[in-house]
Amino acid sequence: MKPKPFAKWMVGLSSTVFIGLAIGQLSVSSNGQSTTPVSTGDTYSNETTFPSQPTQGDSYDDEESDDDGGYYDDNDDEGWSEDDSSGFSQPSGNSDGRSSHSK
Amino acid sequence: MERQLYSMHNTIRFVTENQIPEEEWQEIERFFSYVDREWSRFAEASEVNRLNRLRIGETLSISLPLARLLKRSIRYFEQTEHYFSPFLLEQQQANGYRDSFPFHYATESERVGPPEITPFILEGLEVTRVGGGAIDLGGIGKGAAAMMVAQRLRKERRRGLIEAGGDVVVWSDETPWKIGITHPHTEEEIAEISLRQGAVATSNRIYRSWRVGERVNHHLLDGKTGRPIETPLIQVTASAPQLYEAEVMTKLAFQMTEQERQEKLFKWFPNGRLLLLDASGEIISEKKGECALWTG
Repeated sequence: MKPKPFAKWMVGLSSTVFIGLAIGQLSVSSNGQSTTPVSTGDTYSNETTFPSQPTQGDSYDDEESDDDGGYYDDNDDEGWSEDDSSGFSQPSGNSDGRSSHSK
Repeated sequence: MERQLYSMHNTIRFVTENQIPEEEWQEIERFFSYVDREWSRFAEASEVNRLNRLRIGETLSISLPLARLLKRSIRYFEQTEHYFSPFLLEQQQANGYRDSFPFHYATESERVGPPEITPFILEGLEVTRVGGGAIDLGGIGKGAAAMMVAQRLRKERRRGLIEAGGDVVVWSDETPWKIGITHPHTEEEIAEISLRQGAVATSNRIYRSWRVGERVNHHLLDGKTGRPIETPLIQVTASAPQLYEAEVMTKLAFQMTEQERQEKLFKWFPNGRLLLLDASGEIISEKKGECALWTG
C-alpha cells in the first residue's frame, strides 16, 4: 500500500472516464433506462486486455503474480459469445452436471 | 475423465475427454489456491481485504486475475444501474453475514447505504480508492475462476465441463452437455438444459440464510438499497454465453419485475435465458421477448 499524489490520482480518474466514454462502455440513457447491452466476447475491447508481462512504468510486483497459475495470459471472453442453448426441458435423468446454489 | 479439487468451500469438477496431465493439473490447483488466498473476504490478508482497507486516494498493485475480475465487476455495476453490486460487504455484514458458512444464527448491526459511485478505479494493475464501499465478490468470483480455467483448457480440448459449486461452464464442438437444475428443497432435478457452449448459474435464497431473532435473513441483497431482496422468487437459474453473465443475471432477476426483466435485463443480456421458481412452486421460463409458465 502506498500513498499516491492527488494530482496523479486526478489524471488517472480523468483518463479512466475518457477511456470509458471513448469505447462506449458507459451506459446510454434514454428515459432513465440504459439501453446498451452489456459487452460480451464479440465486442470486448482492448481496454480490458491486460499485459501478460509488466510494461514500462507499471509498478508491477513479480512476487505477487508468481502463484496465480499463469491464468492471466488469456482474454477469457474470446469465443464465448454464441447463444447455443436449447432452452429448458424436462430432466432426462442423465445430466452431465448440476446447477444449484452452493450451500 | 473427471478430476476434482476443493476450493471456495465447494467441490470443483473438471470433466474432459482425456485426463488432464499432472503438470497442468498442478497449475490448476495452484490457481485455485491463489483464488482462495487472495479473493476471499474471509481471509484477512487477501488482496480483496487489502483493497477494502485502502483509504481514499491510496493505491494498491494487485494480481492480474483479480484486476481483470474487478474491472469486469465494475463494468457490470455501472452498466446494470447498480442492480448488480460487488461493493456490498458492509451491508452484508450488517445483515448478519460476517462469517463463512455454515452458521445458523446471527445478529444485525447498524446499516449503511450502498455506494453511489464506483469506489475504486483501475489503471492496469493499480487500484485506487475514490469512494466508500467494500468488495464482496460473492458468486462472481467462483464464476470467474471457473471461466479463466475453462478458457485455458478449451485451447487444447474439444470438449469440457467445469462445475464449481453449482456454477457450470461447458464447451463442445459436437455432442451438447446436459445440465440438470435442482430444486432447493428436494434437490431433485426439476429441469435440464442442453448446450454445446455456454454457462449456467443458479442462486436461491434458501441455502445461505440464517435466523435473526424470529426472522430469517438471506444473502441476496438489493444493489440499490443494500437490504435483503424481498421477492416471491426462491430460486433463479440463468443460462448465458459466459458464466460471469449468468451469475449477474441471477442477481438481477431476483430484484426485478417481469416487465423490468424484459425492458432491462434482456437488453443487457440479450442471449440469456431464465428459469424462475417462486414460493408457490410455479416455474416461469423467460428469454428476450418471451415469458411463459414452464411445464417442461
